[in-house]
Amino acid sequence: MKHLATGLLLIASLALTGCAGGGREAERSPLFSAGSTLFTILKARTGPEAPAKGKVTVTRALLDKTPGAVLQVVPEKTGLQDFLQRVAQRSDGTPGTVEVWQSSDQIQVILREGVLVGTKGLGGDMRSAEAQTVIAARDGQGGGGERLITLARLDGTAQTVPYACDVTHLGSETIQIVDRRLSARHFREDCAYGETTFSNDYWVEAGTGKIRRSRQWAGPQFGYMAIDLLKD
Amino acid sequence: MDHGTELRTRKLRRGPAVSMLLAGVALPSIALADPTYHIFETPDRPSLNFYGSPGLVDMPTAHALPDGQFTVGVSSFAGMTRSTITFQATPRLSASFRYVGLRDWNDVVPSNFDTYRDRSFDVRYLLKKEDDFWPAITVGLQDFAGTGIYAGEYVVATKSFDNTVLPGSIKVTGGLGWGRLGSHGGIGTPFGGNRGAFDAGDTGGEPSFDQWFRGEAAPFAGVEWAVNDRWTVKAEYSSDAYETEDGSREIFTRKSQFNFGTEYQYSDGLRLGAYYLYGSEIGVNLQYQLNPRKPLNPVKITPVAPLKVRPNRAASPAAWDTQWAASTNQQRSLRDQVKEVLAASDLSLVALKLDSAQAELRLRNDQYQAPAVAVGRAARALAWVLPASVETFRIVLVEGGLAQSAVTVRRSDLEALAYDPQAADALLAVAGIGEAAPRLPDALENDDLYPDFAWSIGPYVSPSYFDPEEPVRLDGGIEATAAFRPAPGWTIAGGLKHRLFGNVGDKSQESNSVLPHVRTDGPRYANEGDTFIDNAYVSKQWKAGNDLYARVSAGYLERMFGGVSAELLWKPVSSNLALGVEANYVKQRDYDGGLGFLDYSVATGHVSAYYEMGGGYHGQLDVGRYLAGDVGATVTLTREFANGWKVGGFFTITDVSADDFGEGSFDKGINLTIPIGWFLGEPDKRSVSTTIRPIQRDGGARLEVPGRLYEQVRSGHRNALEDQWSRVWE
Repeated sequence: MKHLATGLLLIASLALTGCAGGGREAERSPLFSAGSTLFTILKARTGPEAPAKGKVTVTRALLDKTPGAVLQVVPEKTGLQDFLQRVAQRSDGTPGTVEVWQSSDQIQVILREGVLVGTKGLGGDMRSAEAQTVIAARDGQGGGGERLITLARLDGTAQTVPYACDVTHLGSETIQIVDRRLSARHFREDCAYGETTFSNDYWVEAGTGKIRRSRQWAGPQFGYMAIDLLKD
Repeated sequence: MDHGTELRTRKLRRGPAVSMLLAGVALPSIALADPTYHIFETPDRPSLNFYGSPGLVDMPTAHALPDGQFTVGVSSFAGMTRSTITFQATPRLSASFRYVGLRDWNDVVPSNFDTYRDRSFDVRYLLKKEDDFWPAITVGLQDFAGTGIYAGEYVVATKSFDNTVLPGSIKVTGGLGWGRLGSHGGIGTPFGGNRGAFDAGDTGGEPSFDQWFRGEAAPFAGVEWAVNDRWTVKAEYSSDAYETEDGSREIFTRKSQFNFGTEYQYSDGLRLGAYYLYGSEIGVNLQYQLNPRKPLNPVKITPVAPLKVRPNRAASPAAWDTQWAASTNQQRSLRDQVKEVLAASDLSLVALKLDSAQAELRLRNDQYQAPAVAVGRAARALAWVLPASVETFRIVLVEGGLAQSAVTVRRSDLEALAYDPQAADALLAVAGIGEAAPRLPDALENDDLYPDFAWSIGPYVSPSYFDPEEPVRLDGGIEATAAFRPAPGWTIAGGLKHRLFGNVGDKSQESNSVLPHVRTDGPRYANEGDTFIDNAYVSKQWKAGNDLYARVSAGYLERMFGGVSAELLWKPVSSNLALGVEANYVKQRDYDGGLGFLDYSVATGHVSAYYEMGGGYHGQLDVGRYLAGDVGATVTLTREFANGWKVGGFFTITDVSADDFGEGSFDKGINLTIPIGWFLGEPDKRSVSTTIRPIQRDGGARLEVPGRLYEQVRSGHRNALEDQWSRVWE
């Protein structure tokens, strides 16, 4: 029905084209801009510029040529691979270093010590989150506790959900990041709030203690994303 | 007949007083309603019946729609088409508006129209939610205003069974109906006998208190079996005898009281059904459901660069130097940089005032429906540009030259909380939202903003609803608008329209109104002006005090009236209450839409109280003199959603009698506002609005003045900021 409604609006708008100049956007006919915006959306979806679903094979040489740190993110819903660059890194009042990673289309993924604590620009974002229970469990055998996650509803408001989480240690595994095989400890975090549950997986590199690979939940809209720290 | 007349006169005297009383009782109880909304909730959505209400085929069921749900239902059988919109105004209360057309109305009994057309309103209230043992129980008033053809009341109970031997789920419904819904298989008159008969010639429109639940009551029942997520089968026993349609008018022949049907859920919103009704007719039903909270496209906003954090003072003392504050050149350069960063977020700098420790930014937001987004982006723009010594940011939203409110944040709080586990709530706790002075003297202003000229050429459509011949009439054509703003608060604007097609002016009947024809000559306006001035006016608005706003306008204010208008509004930033007064002197414009006027002129104006009840419920009371010179009051109740959706209803009672008013007895209608961003998924401040009246008469008609103050002012006040504060870091 979404398509039907969009289609109707599109037809209504395209049949009636218009133009405007100067002043504020707010003064232009809504029909007019609805038409032009929808046209752009449609073009992006169907035109030759639509992104291909192919997978880029990352090589060490390619990675060496890329300046700065690189994070690979693959949303499970689309399977589309994206490479993010680190645009900020800092410490604040909360334990753990925060990193802001940005994609080529300016979407931001925010990690605290590798734990997802926010997204920006997705629509239905994770606004903010606690990471302490995961960070604390990372070194030891497991742990858990309450973890507050604030999720955007689609109506412009947000809801802070107190998840009850358990982190369990699933043993050591060898993971491969690009051409390197790393020894890592595998942790699983099971969180529940009433009927709603999610499970995150983290692989912590032995020695550095860094989360090199993870599969984390970004909220009911976006679902899970697979995150690989390709280059730090 | 005598009895009927007497009944009506009594109603006339009682109607307004009781309506007011009802409104008074309704207000507190609405405010108590709890519209909590859970992010993971996927509430069960009942399917709709032929009346567009939750129900079986022709009979109602007891479950309520999810809170805020908006539905459209179009059903047809035996040449009878019912189009209904229903809104679940609170978790328990829903209201419907229906338009019906009954074909072959004059085949047997002579009548003016071949197709009888009528409008009706329903309300439903969920008395009890379903639990493990008890069913849901709902009481409903169908076509409750006036002696309507669909007038009927019911009490109904529905119980669902999920784990039976059958796959899917089953809902069993039983109820008792009165009026139309008690016309077959009656079991007696539990609340007394006398009930007025349906009279197609009555002006109608008034709540018919003395008929509700009177007369014969009859039971009805039914079963709904959801076989799977897509398919549903329904069967019911109807208590409706279709006395008029089957009896006197012979529109169809009723052979049975059993109805059967099957429905298919085509998509998330759309549901289609086919039915066999009353042993003789095939019927169809199209149902569409949407929820204002679920946008067609979720709004996505491109993020800004991460907050820039100041270097440590001890480590780099040079960055904290305050020498810059003494230099006008450096201040100007900072203003230009802030302006540039804001422009990247489509925000406009109005003025900036700097000293070594604090900054006040005046900001115009033409982009984001949520003011918190504008404030959050402005704070980060200041942190990006300003020297480290500036610790306090005061951000003032300015709308149409009016300073709305001042949000004060400390820069160190921004730095500490940007990635806090509860970043938005924590920032709100330490931010101040207060009043803003009308002007900011000695500030560095943005010289690019004024004078400002804007124009547009585009299409327009202008609908007219529900006259007896055509359900919807439509005019359309080209519109050109222009606005010139020489200085803050000043607007010189106008619109010119040229009609290319349409049939609004084709209405053959002349207005029969005994009042001055302030609105009912609409078709003549549509007919005589192919190219017409829609409006052309000069207006000036300003802040007369920290909580006081003023506006003066003059010119061709709307299509039918021109003159002068003045308004004063009191609205403190953190107050839920606002009070306003508006006075106008206007003359009726010539039909052709040129510069001329007709003879009629009137002094009209209102005293208004606006109140935000919390939880998204909003009330407005306007008392004053209307365009036809009648004196009275308008009550408006609106459900507002954080994303800008508004669904409201209003009614106006004036000293015009129901007979003088004509069809409908008094003015009433529905307001609907949908934000553009809800469709597009892009930030957009604009919205489309429409007012639907069952019928437009001359009583209780209000002047339309461009640029009324209240919505402009409150769009940047505390409630508007806090409603979507969670987006401040977006």
